[in-house]
Amino acid sequence: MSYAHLEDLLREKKIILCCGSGGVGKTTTSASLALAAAALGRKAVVCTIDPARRLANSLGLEELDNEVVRVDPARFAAAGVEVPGELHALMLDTKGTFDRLIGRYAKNEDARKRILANRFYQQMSGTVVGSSDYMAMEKLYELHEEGGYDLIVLDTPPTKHAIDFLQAPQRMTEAFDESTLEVFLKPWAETSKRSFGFLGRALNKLITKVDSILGLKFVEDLAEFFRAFEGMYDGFRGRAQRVDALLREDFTSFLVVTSPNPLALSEASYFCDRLREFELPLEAVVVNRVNQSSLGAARDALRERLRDPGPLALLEAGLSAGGAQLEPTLRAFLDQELLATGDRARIEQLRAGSAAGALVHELPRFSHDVHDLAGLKELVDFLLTKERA
Amino acid sequence: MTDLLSKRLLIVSGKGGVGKTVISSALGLIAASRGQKVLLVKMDDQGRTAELFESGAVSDRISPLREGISAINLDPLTIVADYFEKQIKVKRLVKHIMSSRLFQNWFRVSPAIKEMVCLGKVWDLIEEKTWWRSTPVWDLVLFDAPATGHGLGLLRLPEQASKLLMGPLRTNALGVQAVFEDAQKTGLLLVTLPEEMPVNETVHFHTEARAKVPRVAQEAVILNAAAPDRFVGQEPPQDLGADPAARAALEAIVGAEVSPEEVSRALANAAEVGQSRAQLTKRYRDELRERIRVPLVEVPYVFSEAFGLPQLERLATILEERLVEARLIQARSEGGSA
Repeated sequence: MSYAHLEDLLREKKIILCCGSGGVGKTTTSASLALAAAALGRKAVVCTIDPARRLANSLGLEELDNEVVRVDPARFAAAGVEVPGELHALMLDTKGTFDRLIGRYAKNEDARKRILANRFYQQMSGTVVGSSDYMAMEKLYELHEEGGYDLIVLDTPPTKHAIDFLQAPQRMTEAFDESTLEVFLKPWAETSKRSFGFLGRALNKLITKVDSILGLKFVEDLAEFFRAFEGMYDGFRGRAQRVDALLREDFTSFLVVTSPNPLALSEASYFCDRLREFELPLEAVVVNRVNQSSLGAARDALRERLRDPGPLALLEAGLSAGGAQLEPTLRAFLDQELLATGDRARIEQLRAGSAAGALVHELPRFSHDVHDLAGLKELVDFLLTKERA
Repeated sequence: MTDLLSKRLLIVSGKGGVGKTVISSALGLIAASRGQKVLLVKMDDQGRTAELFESGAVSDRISPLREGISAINLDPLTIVADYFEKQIKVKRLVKHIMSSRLFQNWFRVSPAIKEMVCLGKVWDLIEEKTWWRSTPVWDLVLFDAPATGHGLGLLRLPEQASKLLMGPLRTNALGVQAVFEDAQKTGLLLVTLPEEMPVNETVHFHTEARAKVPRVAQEAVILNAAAPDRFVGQEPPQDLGADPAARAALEAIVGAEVSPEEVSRALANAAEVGQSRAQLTKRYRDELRERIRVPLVEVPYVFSEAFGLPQLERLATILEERLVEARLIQARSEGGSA
């Protein structure tokens, strides 16, 4: 079903995943969505990836503690924000989450230690692009399983490939697919007595050849990693499948965050298209920092004139009509109207195109950065408004 | 200091959404207009470059964007397939390997291999020579680096990879590292916006890079979309609703009658927004000047309804002036504009 207002979404859903490219204000939007839910009386938790320090501080978050912290109601009172519900927050620690996951499924302490010490694991879990995708999903699942929250808002990593993150659970499953594993495992598992098919041997040879061409010495590491993993596959695979199912629940909803600049919008369209392709529930698009026209009814007339005869001619007209001493003001006025007109046209395109059927909610561009609770509160008011900008 | 345009490789980096693509494209226009053969190297281009240049799509094969500028979107799998073809020389076997799910999974989970393969390709492109005169095929390679989520990852990768890898990939990593650290050949430009997160990330990146990859030559920080100060040294006029001249001016612009209230609100609002924009720019400009050890080059916000080729060309003209002022590139010789 489609929603008319963000408020309905915030009241009804249990999980909201915010996706979007970098630099569009995704973290701030996620935090203000959770705060809005709390302002509506719900117990909300926001899981963020990499918040600006001042924003994190304003919520009372220490660095990467991976623990849920309740935002002290005294902070709301001090900022003059009325919050009948609860706001909780945490910063995702990718590596810590991965380590915990290993701890959960390792068959014994020795296996756990061997995995944590493996070179391949260390790189994969820590620095490698993509592992934060897995772990954001994993954390979401953990939070959901633990229960206790009315709404979980997940600020996803700013993945350029939307597909990477959408497929994280599935890829996880594939990476641990037994047929893949056996080929890797076999030659190093000398003690194993199981026979191997021709295909397995041939493929293994090829991979070893590839390995030697690239000079990675990688297969050995990987095999060792997988060997240590023995007995954990079912656990991992099952979990990845459950995460995937969770994303398709009725109470889960995807929200794309963007800004009205052309690059961000084209990425937002791409996100919307991919979500549809994966049959994931895209409910809303939030367009941040939309430049506002400062005119009333006259704005449509001006929109045409900005195209023809164009801003320079209009400035000339204004100056010669007696506004010479107002030149800076008239310039500022035209700057603003040009931005507002451009934003408007692009957002209409989005509404009619990739975002069709979803709720498109606009937030105005503020003349200051949002980095404290008072700023978030201001955003909340705009998130909960039922008027279309 | 080496002239930016005499280098072989410019790495353009910065936080997502700050305008890396626009700035590297503008640099491409500048170099090409001075007669250089330019290659724009992208990772994960989603069609924006083609939009900017009003050209055909950028693909995983080099294709021309316009006179003097070509582009490629690096695709790790294509690069590896090409490489295997050279090494194994049996096309069908290569196809078999590449299409096996085993290989694809393996490639996907390998740490950092995709990035390293791409950097290796960048190195190849720089070293590529024409067979007839053995001069470089590309005078300037502009590498529009992926968003610096975790800062230095990409710049440190060759060094780290050379420790982890063996064989040809190690040779490759060492080669890339040598190019990155050669100040005659390579320069690093950081792009930022006058906003909190991008400025913080830029300062952090700049400082970390100086410490961890000290030999990579940082050339400049480019402050993109700097808001103009329309009211230099004067206060915006107050309550213009009663001013008949202001009303006449606004009506001449809008082309319709406007009420005094509307005049007052519209102009006051625009002035306020314009001023606060300029103040933010000033604040972050000051902060960058204080905390950055390389020249700060400022390019103004391009106020327009859309951003396409005409706007890109305008931006390139201004960027060129600013780079000349900062002595990062030489002025065009008189009458020598190719």
